[in-house]
Amino acid sequence: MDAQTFEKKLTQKRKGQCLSCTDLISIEDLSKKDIEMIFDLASSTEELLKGNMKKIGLLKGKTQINFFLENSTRTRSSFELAGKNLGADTINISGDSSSMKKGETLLDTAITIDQMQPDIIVIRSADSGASRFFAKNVKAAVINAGDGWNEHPTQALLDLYTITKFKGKNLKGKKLVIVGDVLHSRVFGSLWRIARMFELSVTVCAPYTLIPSNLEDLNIKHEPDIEKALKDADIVYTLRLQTERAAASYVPTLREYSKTYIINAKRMLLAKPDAIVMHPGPVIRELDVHTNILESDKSVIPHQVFSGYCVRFVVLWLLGENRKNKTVEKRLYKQF
Amino acid sequence: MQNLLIKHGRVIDPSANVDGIFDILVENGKIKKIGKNLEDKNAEIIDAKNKIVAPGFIDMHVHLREPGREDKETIHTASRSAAKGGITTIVGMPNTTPVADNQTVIEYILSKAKKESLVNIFACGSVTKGEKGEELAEIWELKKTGAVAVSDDGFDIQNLDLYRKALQYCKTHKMPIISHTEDANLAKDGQLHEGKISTLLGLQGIPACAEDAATARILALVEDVNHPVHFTHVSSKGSVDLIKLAKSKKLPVSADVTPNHFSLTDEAVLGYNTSAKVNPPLRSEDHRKALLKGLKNGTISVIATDHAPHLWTEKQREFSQAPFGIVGFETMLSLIITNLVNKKVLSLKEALRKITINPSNILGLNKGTLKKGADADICIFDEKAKWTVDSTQFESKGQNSPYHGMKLFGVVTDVIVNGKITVRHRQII
Repeated sequence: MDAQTFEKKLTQKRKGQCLSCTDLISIEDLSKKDIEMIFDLASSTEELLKGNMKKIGLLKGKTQINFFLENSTRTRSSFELAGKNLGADTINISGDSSSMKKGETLLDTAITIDQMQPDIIVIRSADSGASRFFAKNVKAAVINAGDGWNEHPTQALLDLYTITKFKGKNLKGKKLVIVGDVLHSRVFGSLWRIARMFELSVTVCAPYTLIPSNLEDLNIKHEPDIEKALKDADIVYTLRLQTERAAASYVPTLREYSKTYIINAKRMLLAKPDAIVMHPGPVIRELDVHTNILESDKSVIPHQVFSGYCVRFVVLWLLGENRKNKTVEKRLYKQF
Repeated sequence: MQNLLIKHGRVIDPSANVDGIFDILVENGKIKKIGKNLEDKNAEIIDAKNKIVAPGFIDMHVHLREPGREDKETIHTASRSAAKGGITTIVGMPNTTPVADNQTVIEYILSKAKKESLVNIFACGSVTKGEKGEELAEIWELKKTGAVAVSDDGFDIQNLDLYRKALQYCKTHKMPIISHTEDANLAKDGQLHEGKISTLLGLQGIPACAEDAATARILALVEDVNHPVHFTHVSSKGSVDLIKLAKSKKLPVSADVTPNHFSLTDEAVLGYNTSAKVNPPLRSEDHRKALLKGLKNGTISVIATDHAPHLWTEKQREFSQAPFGIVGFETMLSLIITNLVNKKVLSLKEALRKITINPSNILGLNKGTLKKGADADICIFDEKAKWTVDSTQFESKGQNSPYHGMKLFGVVTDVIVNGKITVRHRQII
């Protein structure tokens, strides 16, 4: 299929629909209908992105800035590639090379970057809330590629998109077990929100030291015993344990953590026979997930990465044309 | 100095258990007389009909920012802001730059206050040198220079051996300690109350037990040394319970709460609202209810603002990098009326007691009363008037207020400081 035919096909499928938000900062910015549209369009892009000619022109003439204040492999490269495939001009700014190193504030950085008239800014930051703050101060559409421990909405979109491929569209009551460092995880922050929308049952599994408070208020179950947690699981979602957590006594040693919480073939026997194992990456082999799972059909982790590419392609397209419609929030400063 | 005659107001003076329509005559900066139908041909008349006439308010916990951070606030601007809020006496905390851990800084603050302040300013020295919690400051000399208390506000002394010695040394020189109560390890890197909201926002929480545990250990020292400690900006249910128990054992302890903690919960932080970022943090509703109960049953005998001005720029940033603090003077009375008096938590008289005679007694300020011969610090306000908070119009340099845009009850119309009219018809003179 040539580029023009493909563009036509996608445009027809979109039927002129737009997302109900101008920025994507939280899963809560999206309606269920938005998400279903994203998935529908993503499935159509798979053919393009797996093909020999990946470039189309739906965002031709648009500018995309990837502003990453924290490291990233898969998120940044998939956003960048997807933007280029859509025909946008993309540039990358990293924390180390930005003027924030010289003391420029995030507010002034936002004002400055926005004057380059970008259509899309993809931002990642170590500070929870930074992406929303940025979005309020620029006319470009802002896509949150992770803010602190808060959210990483395109990760949750790609995760749910992957889940629907293996478990079908009706996910009501499916048991999602999230294992690992829930406390410090923005992936968890978006995942439980999207799971709630699609009525999955969510159980988290980790020692109490790695569990955020008041999860019961969010209708999330905590089962510290991995053997109990995995029982009848449909989806086992593992989170990376950062190695520095042991030094801070969240766990005594990585060795003990691995013994108590690693997902391996033996433990997966407790889950449903067709259960899948997921991980947002980067996976730390033999700490988060054992190789006997990673090298088995149970692991859908490589699928997640490709899903991310497709989902981000769609999100960029759907949000990339809004610059003229968005207003910057008025700042309230006392004049002397 | 011209005499003043305040006529027809509803005078409420908790120190004398007065509540009724009276006139007040002020002569030479002092209260000359309170009674019915007073006359003085030479006096300037202030008509207080349909208004409340109370002793000028005392705020025993404020941050003047001078010396060191005059960009955030100065003694002059702080005093204007206080006067606007009906507060005629303020006690500055020692976390200035340099820290008020020596006589020079205390002398600087008091002499600057004499020249530039519209209200009475008292100073609080630090307990330890540089508020570092390592060695005692020269507390005898701080007292001799005029400091009315010592505190390491902003921090808590973590070394209990040092804390015990501080209490023993303060007992020697009869110097009260004001405690910012917090276990440093439990509170480390925390940004807001640990609970549902911290989980929703993905921010590190400050658990309530950080305050409870610190309260418990300080109370053990108070019981051992038997010297007064005032627990400031109490925020948790656990510490209210512990202080109540200590009071029942007749330990020499007292406590205050800020209007922020009895008015708001951590839900005010949703949306990463840095103007609601304060330490101790706004907590959940069960804690707020415990504070209301503590106010009602007298466990918490004082209300103080913890007025903490910051630059706009410092608050316009990533939540975890914004400083803690809320400006408090110009909304204090309105928050008390709106959230305590109108909601029947406290009578107006009991509420006023907590911002007049009670703080005066705790620190020995000899203020907060309208008894004959007292300094004529008077606040006249309209309890029923409604206004909308506009933080860009504050007299304070700080506009970091979570109340911007809120409709509150209670407007200060006239303020007299030491017999001099400072605010008249809501305008600073």
